[in-house]
Amino acid sequence: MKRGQRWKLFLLALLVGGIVSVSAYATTTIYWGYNNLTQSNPPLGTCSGNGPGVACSGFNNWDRSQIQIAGGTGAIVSFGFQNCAGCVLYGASGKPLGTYTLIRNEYNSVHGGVINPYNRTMCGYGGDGSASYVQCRAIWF
Amino acid sequence: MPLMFSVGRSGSEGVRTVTRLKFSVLAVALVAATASAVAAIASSNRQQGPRFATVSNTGTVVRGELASIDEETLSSGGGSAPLRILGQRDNLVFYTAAGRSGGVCRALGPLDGHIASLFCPASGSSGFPSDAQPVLDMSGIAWDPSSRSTQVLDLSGFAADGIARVGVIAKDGSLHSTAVVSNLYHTDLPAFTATALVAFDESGAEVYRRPYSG
Repeated sequence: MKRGQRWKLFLLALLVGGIVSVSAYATTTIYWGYNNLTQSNPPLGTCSGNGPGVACSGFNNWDRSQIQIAGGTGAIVSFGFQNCAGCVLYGASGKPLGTYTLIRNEYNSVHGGVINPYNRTMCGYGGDGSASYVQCRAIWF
Repeated sequence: MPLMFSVGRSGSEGVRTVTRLKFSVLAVALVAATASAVAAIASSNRQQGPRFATVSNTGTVVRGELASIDEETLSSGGGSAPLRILGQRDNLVFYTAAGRSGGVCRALGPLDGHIASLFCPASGSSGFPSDAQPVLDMSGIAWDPSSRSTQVLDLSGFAADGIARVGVIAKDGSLHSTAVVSNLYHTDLPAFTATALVAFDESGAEVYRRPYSG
């Protein structure tokens, strides 16, 4: 099998599995969930350079960080972008049920260019409740 | 009813007059007491109803075609065009849009007219605005995943009618707050570790608190 064909099959598998979706403009990757985000879930080691209760995508030129809070006991979720493993997350926090989306370029326009073009997206347990049932997504526009 | 004394009338007529007077005074007193009780009950009922369930500022439609990047943001985020602009605070513009699952999506963005941050509520959710959620905070934060401590970069968001101020309490106990104008609030903040988001009504009473600690 030729190399190009292997990549096409791999992408097809991801699309069929629902991990990646492609629209006219953007590619969305689900990197965690639906699952309960708690102080200890995901476990230590899930996101390199960070403790438990934090999930992240791989590094890429991600344009958007998105999280859907679908249930739970009202825990706050911190989500956004991280410039390096173990670095501070720049983003926002959410609590009400719904979908939150941050757009890197425009966020930088407001906050002074704090997020690098090459980054990883992240979602983490932020307290005030034992769990939040979420799906965390990285989007490349 | 004016006081009446039958001077010069016979004894029995005088007694009837005084009796009618006593009943009149009693009737007036009863009516006054009843009216007072009804008013008190009505006032109590008003106080028990939701206080922070509305947002009066509905904005105006943003004219012209939406940029494709914002169309995609809305679409992937659960909203649909058109955008409505609610106002501007410093370098931040506030928007709403219809949620595809119902409800109202809320967004912020810089002065170039694009969306930086979007929230669309889940179908049937009773979040903002409500007494339990009188504030939809969309502040930018820097969050340390090791300590789970939060620095609020800018205090920004939407507040229900009746919310007069929104603030952040620092680790040293100090309050950094800003006024709510037309249901919108925004201010830049100095660097400090935040412990709670708070909101105050028009009397200055704290009506909402959400911790930042994890």
